Amino acid sequence: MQPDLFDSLADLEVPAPPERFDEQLHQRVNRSLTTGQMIDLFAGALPFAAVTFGRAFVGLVTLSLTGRYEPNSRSRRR
Amino acid sequence: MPELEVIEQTDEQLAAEAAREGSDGPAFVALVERFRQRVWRICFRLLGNEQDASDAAQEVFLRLFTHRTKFEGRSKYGTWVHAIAVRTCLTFRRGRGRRRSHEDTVSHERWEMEQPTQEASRPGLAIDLMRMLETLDEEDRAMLILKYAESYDYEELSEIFGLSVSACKMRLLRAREKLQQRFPEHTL
Repeated sequence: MQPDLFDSLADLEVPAPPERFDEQLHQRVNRSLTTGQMIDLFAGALPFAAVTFGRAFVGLVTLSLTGRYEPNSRSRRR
Repeated sequence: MPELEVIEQTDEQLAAEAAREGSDGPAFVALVERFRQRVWRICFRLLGNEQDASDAAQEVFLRLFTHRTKFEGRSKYGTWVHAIAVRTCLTFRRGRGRRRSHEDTVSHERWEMEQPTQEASRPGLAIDLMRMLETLDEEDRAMLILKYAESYDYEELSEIFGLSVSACKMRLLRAREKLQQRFPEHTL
């Protein structure tokens, strides 16, 4: 009986993974983490900080010019 | 985490531990260690050259890392990893397209030269077959390679490709028939 040609696929040898595989992977994971943290920083933390400090600054200027302090709507509800 | 603890843990326990880690900590490193060889073999078999296989295998582990909180335990962790590896390789091949076909031929020729010579005819036949497989649909090709080169059973293939066992059997049979029609000079 003729051997199944497909069984010969298993005869092709697969080389070992490259020596620097783990090191390169670690670098890619680090780059991915850094990118993710940068996106979090620029898309989340910096706008939040800008809005928070902006409100405080506007409040300070308003208080200096008018002598009145009006807390924002969220604080008033409390 | 102490090394002994890592060795004793199942893949699923390590995956849960890795999901709690903020970076590639001991649990994730242990998972890479466990699956490196298997993922590499899948990538090399499906992509056919070391450079692409290395890129793809790293991409697989990067996806495992970024999606480490998404493993829901509905299948075995190993099956989940293998499915990601296959999908990543298929995406690589689709992206690579036909522009690399010449490089592939050269790479396969180099691979052919590197094969052991004691059984000269069998690896030669296998390389002919790899070339024939290039004419098939990507998923059919991947399924045939995993089944015959890596000895995956139908249950594993069905989970990896998201098909029923009978659909897998049918698909493999049809792929073989297609090849036989295209290359009638070979007995497949």
